[in-house]
Amino acid sequence: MNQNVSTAAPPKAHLPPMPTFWWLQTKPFIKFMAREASALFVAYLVVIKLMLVDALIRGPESYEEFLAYLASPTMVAISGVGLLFAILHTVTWFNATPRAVVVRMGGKKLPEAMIVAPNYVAWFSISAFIAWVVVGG
Amino acid sequence: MPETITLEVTRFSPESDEEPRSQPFEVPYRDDWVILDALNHIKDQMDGSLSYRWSCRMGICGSCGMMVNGEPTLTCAAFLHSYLPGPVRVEPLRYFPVVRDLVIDMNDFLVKLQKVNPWIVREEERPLEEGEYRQSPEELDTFKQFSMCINCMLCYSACPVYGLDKEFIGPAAIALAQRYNLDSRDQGADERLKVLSQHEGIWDCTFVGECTQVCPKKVDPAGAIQQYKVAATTEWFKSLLMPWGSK
Repeated sequence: MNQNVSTAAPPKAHLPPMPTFWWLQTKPFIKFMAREASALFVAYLVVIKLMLVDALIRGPESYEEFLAYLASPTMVAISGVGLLFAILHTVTWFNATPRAVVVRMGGKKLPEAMIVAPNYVAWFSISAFIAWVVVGG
Repeated sequence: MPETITLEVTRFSPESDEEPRSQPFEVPYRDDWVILDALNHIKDQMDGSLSYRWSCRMGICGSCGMMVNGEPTLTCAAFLHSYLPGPVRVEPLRYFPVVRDLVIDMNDFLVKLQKVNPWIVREEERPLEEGEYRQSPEELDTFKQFSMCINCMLCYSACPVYGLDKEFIGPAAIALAQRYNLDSRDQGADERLKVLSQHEGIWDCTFVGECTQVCPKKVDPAGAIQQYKVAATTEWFKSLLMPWGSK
């Protein structure tokens, strides 16, 4: 190329396109996508709960029928995976709360553990109460 | 201790190259050398045509950010010994257009940064006779963390949202907006909210959180964005419930 060519024109910059599977590139990206995907399983579990209520309204027979359907090995496996993702969803979001919520007391920032802990306390207490109602009640 | 270490450096010449390519350089290994020292050695002793940005060599100017083995890194703060036995892949910052070799076009970031008014905004300046705007240590503490940003753009290269959507205003700009919003002397929060409450502002962020992980100054842009989301939602609810209330 002639060295006297004017360089006044803007340089040709190179911007590679984002790969379709960018989220498989690094471990943190995979973890992020798992966290996002967990919302689908949470939604699935909510739908199952609503269907359970619907079956209950339609009478004892359809309720038993639906329970038997849920007890099939495939459905148990799906529910198991759903539960794992629901736990992942809960834990990741609980642990993320101190990033979004900053509480100051007496001019000092409250330690992160103080923001996270109440979430877990509420989670376990409510779960224990529901378990007591369902099993013991 | 090895005698040498290989750096695989991205080269791109807009006049002759269609795409960036990688060029290996075998440089002397020194225990006290950072990646930037190795690049300076290449430029001084091996190939003077290598282009890259750098200035202070002490993690303050924010110029020498590059991808090192695929991680957004300040090359003046990354020792060669962390990458033994090599080779070390040195590439330009991801998600930015490459102008030449390791030099990226940062214009997009600078335009976005300016949009959030990253300075103290006053509705009315106090007369000089009234003295300075005083601030307590507690008031300083609320924003100090966000004021540590050195505009190195590592957070943009860590953010896949920015990679996918170039309209996203990005982590550092939002963190700096928050830095001024939380400053007791500032009155520009409403102006900034207009920019940041748009989809391309805070709502584009899906909280991947990698911006915070790569930040060399522990600014926590991901935290700033989530806190801004909470503040924007609170404002929205307030205006919904009390439309007559003054902002």
